[in-house]
Amino acid sequence: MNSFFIMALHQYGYPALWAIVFIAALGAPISGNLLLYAAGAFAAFDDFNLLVLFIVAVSAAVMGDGVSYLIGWKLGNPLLVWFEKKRRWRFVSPIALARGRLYFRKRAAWAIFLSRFFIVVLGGPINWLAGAERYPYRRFLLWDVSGQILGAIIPLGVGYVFAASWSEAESIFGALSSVGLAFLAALLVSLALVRKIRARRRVSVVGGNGVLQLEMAQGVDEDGLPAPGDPLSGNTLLEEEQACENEGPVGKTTRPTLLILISRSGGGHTNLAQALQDELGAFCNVLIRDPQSALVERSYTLLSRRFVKVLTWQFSLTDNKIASWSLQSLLALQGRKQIARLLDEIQPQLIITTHALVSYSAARANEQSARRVPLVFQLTDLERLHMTWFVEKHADAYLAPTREIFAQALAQGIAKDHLYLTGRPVRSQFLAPATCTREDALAAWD
Amino acid sequence: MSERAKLSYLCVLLLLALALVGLSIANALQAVNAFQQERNATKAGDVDTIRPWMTIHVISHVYHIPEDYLDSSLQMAKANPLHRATLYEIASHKRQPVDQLIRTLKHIILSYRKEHPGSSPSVQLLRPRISNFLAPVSGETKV
Repeated sequence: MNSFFIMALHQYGYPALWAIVFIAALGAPISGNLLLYAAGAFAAFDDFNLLVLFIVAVSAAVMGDGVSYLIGWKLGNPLLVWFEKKRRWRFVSPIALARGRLYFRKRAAWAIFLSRFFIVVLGGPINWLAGAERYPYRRFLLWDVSGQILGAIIPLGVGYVFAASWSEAESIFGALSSVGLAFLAALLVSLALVRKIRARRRVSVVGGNGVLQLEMAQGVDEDGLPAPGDPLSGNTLLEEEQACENEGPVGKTTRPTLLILISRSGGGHTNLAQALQDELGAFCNVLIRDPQSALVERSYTLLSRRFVKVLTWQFSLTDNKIASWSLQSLLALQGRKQIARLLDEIQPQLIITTHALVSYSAARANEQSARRVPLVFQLTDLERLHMTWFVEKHADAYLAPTREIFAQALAQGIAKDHLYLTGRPVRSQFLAPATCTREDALAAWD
Repeated sequence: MSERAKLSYLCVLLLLALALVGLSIANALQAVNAFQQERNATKAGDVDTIRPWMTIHVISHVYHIPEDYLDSSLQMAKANPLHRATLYEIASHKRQPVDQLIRTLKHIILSYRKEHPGSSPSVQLLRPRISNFLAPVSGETKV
């Protein structure tokens, strides 16, 4: 196979190199790298120009990676969801698969960069996974191009320098890549083992109380997935399951910490946050915070009391993609820092936001945080949402209170597997049985 | 699967991964060793280092044999498109195994060296050292 490619390189020159490197970058089981070593060696004997080789190699690899990313974007996500929902493989549980996805999201930049020149064999699958995970293309491109520049310089340079012995030099780099891959595998297995041992210790400390009892009470299945009928799980909310596994610094107990971000510019949003607190407070430390400055609240109060028309005008003016994006970007300038500070201070295991105006800032702050936390948008309105909710389309979950909102979110491009029809939580006092008769209540009003 | 079984499964996986690390390190060391040997042999002009990917131009460059000599020995005209082809292509064009072509080339190179002593890269590498070594001796003779 390799001799065929080398022959093709020699016969057809740069176009052959471009085509082979492009196909290899798509994830085909052929070694584009080997060809670059050979091309570097031929360049040493004046058969090729090293600079042209570099340009051809980088452009072909970046194009191939882009197409591979696009394939992942189009086909990968439904496939991953299909794997996650049902137990397709005996040894890989949906929860492990989902945990892997979360892990990839955290380390995607490094994975993309290193797989371009060090562990080249993982390049194709990582492109595909980045697309499936909706990793932002601009960032993908940045890491891809940086990695591919090294990925072209190393083999071309080694081939050029060691010319007649390029194939032996290539086998050294191949062997080093295998060492890296084996080391990575050992590291991942060690981490999994350490996590398992720690979990066992924690279980033995907690004993029959705490988290375990709670999971039993909620009907958690053997994989730790919430059973159907759970108030927050029309679908699987893995992030919450993960949140329940971790310990938060607040309270120093086994209870996870959940941060609800609100904006006081709207009583309904705050009520919804309190309803969630009532619902989840039984097994989580729920903290409600408004990251916006007091000025926002004061302005809103003034407008809503004295200049309602201005507020209505502002609402309808920003209810389109461009204006809502501009508004969110502006708010994020300050809001992002405030939320980042809150995340550092509280270190929650899950973030829920009930207000559109903090949703985008929360996503940006979370993205830049060293420890990314699952982010959930609790959509508030019942009939139609303002477009500011849809500026951020990559939250981990969107909780839609009604079918109308579910349909609108879907139409606005929110991935179906991230969208959950949950109904709208109400505060616990509405669910508690009445302590007085209707007549008494009416009399109390008088 | 019980927790204990999962733990043992992970331990076995870890052992396998560590074994893989060991094997790949050994493989890397072997590759370094093979590279050093190959590089020294190529520098010394050892004809055993001829590879099927090489072209006549490359062979001429590495083993210090004039291209014309190789072309005429292989009965190829310089204008022939095969002149810039790899040994794979030449062998397939001549309908003979590539190993046989490599053997023929080895003979050609060795016979050229016999005809032109001192054309071997190893001799060319050693020549300055030999002359350095001989320099004081010739000086003494003059004195």
